[in-house]
Amino acid sequence: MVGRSKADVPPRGAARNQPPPRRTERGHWRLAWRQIRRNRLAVFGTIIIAGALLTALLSPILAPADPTKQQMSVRLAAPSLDHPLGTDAFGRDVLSRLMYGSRTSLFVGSATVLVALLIGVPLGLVSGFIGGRTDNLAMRLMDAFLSFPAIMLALALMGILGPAIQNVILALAVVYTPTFARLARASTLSVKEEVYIKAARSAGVRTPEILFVQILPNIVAPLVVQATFAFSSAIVAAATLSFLGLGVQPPTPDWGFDLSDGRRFVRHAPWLTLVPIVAISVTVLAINFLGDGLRDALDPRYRSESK
Amino acid sequence: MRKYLVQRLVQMPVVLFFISIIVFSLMHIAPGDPVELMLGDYFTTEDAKRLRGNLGLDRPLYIQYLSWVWGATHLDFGTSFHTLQPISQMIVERAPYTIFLASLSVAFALLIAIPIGIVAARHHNTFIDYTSMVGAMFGISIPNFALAVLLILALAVWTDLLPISGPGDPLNDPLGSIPYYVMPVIALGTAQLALFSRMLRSSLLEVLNQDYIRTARSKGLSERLILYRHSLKNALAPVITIVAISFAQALGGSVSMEFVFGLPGLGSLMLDAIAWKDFPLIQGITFVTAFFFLLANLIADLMYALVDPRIRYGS
Repeated sequence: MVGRSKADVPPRGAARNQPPPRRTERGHWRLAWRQIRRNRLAVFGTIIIAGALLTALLSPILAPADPTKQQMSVRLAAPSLDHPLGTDAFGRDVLSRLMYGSRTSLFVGSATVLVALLIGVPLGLVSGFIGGRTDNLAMRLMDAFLSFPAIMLALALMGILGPAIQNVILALAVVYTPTFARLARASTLSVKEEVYIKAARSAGVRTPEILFVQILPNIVAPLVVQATFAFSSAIVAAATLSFLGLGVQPPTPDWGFDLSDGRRFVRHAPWLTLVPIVAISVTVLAINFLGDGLRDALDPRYRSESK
Repeated sequence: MRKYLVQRLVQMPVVLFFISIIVFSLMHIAPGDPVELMLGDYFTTEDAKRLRGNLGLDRPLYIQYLSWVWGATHLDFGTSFHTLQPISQMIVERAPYTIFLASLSVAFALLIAIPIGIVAARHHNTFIDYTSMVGAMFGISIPNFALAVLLILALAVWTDLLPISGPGDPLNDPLGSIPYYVMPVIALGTAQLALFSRMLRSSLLEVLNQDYIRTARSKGLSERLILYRHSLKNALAPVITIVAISFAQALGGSVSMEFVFGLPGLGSLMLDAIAWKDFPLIQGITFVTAFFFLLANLIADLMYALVDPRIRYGS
């Protein structure tokens, strides 16, 4: 953090072009970053997530074998030097499936959150900004979506759309969009009464610019926290769907499906279940640790309670 | 608060209306003709025509919607395409298993979470507090189906302590059914347990910072008395209010448990419905669970008002 004090001072002449809330926002992020670095669990989480991301990106290089290559001569082999985590019922290398499985999980999880953010946030922004009857109806629609147990809605959608990776993302995006819309709306409601927004409106700034340039940067913090938790929760939901046989289809490596499939050999080949259990639990745990850290750091209500 | 509750009650019909639209639309978002999807690979045009007529899919869309809603208000969701039984009857037959499991898991979670939350708050910022909260994070993070398989390994495969699957008979022989429900209850209840204990800890810590607790301390009351007589009741309020919501969430989480442990509840009925491509059945189950979920949320709001006098008498 060398040179921090220097960076706090805006370059000369910048003050005129930049709206004041942005600058405090930047200091806010720096403060948050410092706090996260002090939170050991959040740092641990970040390291694991970075590891998982690297594994996902580099799995073609890192994995010892093709995750879908069947080798019946060594089926259900216990962990050995050739196959560090053993092989499955088709003689496929479990370590390679673990590594490629991280791709499926992280891809589905992040795609879901991205789609939900892209739909939910503009919806909440506009709804909260307009207010009135439109806002009320839009929010009741969100309430209706939130009235389904998440997994039930996802199941119903998957049952009707049919199992495929893009349908998993679609179904889960439907599940997670309302939370983002509600959060974005609530934050918009409080921000839109700020003086600088009123000033911008009276100065004739067009509505889209007010929404996305003036308001959005100021409601990012709660959205980031929510997105982190939605990410871990979407990973679990996607794995649940594959576990139930309604998500990503074989032979694509997937922790949820591999775990479900491994149950058949739970007695003689426990590594088939233990490996995906550890993989998914550790990944989700790491993301939740980071989410907790982000919340403590970004939400002023939690800031006093240091860990 | 009364204003808030009235507002919620007024909003209920609107939300229910949207729920009915969503559930009704399920049949129509199917990629392709729902009738052909339901019939599968081998059928004659006669079959398709008959099924279309039976399901009323040959009528205008708004008539279809209205008749579906009319049925739903009479608890009539039509007949299952696969079993030819009335859907509401199938739901009533399966629901007890799911409700039994969900209730037990919430009870289990509360029973264990309360002492953990108290101990963690009493030893705030110590090793005990730290360990139990990291443990709670583990509990929240491990997916229920993963925990279920882990429990099967530990308690059935490696030790023969418990039966691995089966429904028991919770209606007629609840005690004798318990062994069948130990693993599902732990697997389903652990996340709630973790959530409850985290909540209780933080709300206890908040209460212990209040002025009246300082007063109690300064007049020399023992920590024990302060905790159990003056703090716990207030700190439990937020935990009690989410019990209704947790119960509703357990109804959803129950799907994986029923799948793993072979329980014939609503969740496995849903999986059957999907496997059979029985769209009316999917709609019926989805609507019923959503209705319970909405009800649970309303109950949670009411409980919150009941438990917290500041809200009850507030404007």
